[in-house]
Amino acid sequence: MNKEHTYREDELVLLLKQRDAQAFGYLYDHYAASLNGIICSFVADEQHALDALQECFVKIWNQVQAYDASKGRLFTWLSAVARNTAIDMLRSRNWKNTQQHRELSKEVHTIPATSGWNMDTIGLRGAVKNLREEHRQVIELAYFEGMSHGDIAAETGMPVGTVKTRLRAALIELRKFIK
Amino acid sequence: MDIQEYIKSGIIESYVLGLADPEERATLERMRALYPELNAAILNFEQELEAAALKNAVPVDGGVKEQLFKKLAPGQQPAVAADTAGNKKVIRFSKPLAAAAAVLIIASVGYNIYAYQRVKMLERENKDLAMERSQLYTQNATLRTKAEELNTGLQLFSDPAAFKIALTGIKETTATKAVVIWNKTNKEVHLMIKGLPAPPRDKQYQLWALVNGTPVDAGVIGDCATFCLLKPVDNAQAFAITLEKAGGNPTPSLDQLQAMGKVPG
Repeated sequence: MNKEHTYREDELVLLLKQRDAQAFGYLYDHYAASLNGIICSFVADEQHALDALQECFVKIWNQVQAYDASKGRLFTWLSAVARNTAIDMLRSRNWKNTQQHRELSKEVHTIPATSGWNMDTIGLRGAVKNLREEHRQVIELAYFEGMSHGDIAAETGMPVGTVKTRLRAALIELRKFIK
Repeated sequence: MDIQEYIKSGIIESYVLGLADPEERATLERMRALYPELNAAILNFEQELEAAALKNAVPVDGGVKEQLFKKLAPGQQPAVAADTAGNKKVIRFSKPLAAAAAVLIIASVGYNIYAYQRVKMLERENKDLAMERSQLYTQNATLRTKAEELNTGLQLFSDPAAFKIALTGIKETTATKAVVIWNKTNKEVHLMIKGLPAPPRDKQYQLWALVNGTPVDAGVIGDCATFCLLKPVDNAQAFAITLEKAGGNPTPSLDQLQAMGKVPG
C-alpha cells in the first residue's frame, strides 16, 4: 500500500477543517476500528453500534471545526465524540423502544455478531470490572451513563465533593488496568 | 499547589476521559500552560488511551465506509476516488479564500463593464474631436486663402502707382458696379465686382480699356472670389464693362454697356 498517504496530525486536522474528503477517508481508515471498539463498549447490539459509528463520523465531519488541538490530541476528541454519540443513542427513546421490542423476540439476540465482540470485555468496560464496587459504580455513572457530578450526587445521595474525590480515586485505579 | 501531587490526583484521567466538571477543566487548562510536566503527563495518558483503544479495536465491515460517504456527500464517493488518485495532491481552497476570490471576480467583472463603457465613450469623443479638427483645418485653409487675397488686395491698393477706378452704372442707376485697380507701372489690371448681377448662362462680362477713344480688350471676367486679374493694359483713359457671349468678343457690343469709369487725372 505504498500509494497511501500518511499525514502528520496537524496536517490531517487542517485538511479536515477544510473538509478534505481524502483526509476524511484516511481518518476513517485509521480510526474507525478503534472508535468502533469504544462504541461497542457502550452498545451491545451490532446494528445499533454500526448506526452509532456512522453517526459518530457524521458528527466528526460536521463538527471538526470545534476541535481545539490545545485541549487535547485528535484521538482524544474523536473518542469523546464516539462516547457522546453512544450515550445519546442509549438515552434516546427510540433506542429504548426498539430495545424493549427486541427483548420480546429473543431470536434477534441469538444472531451472532459478525465481529463477535463481547461488550463486557472491551476497553474500559472490561477494565472497570476489576475495580471494587464503589469505584466501579461511580465510573459506570460518570463515564458510561454520562452523568454530571451533580446528577451522580443526586442519584447516590453522596455529597458532590465525595463524588469528585471518589471518581478521581476510581480513575487512578482504573488506569492500572488500562495499561 | 504541588504540581506532582496535582498530576497524581486523578484530575488528568478525569479531564481526558471527559469526566471533569467545567471548573476542573478550566483549572487544568490554565495549569497545563504553566507546567510543562503537567502537559506531558496529559499527553502521556492520551497516548495510553489511544493505544488501548487500538488494542480493543473492533473491525468495521468494509461497506460501512461507502455507506457513510454516500450519506455525507450524496452522488459522489470522494474517498474511493481519492484512493485511486494515488499521490496526486488535490488542491483545495479554504472558504475565506474562495469567498475573497469570488468578491475579486465580481469586482473585476464590474470594473471591466465600467472600463468598457468608458472606452466606448472615449472612442465616441475622439471621433467627434477628429471631425471637429478636420472642420477647423478646412476653415483655417479657407481663412488663410481669404487672408492672402485680402493681403493681395491691400498690396494692390497701397501701391502708389495703382489707380482705383469705380465703374458705375449708366442706365437705370449710377451705383458702383465694379472697381478696377490698374497699376500704371507694372500694367496689371485687377477687378472687383461690386454690384453686377450674375450673367446669363451663355454670356460673360468683358472689360475694355478705352485708349484714345478705342476700346481695347482687357479680358473676360470669370468666377473670381475677390480680385480678378485681367489682361495687362499699357495705357487707358477709361474702363468699361459690356455683356458679351461666353468667351468674349474682339470688339465690344456697345448696346450691352453695363458700367464705365474714367481713370482719374
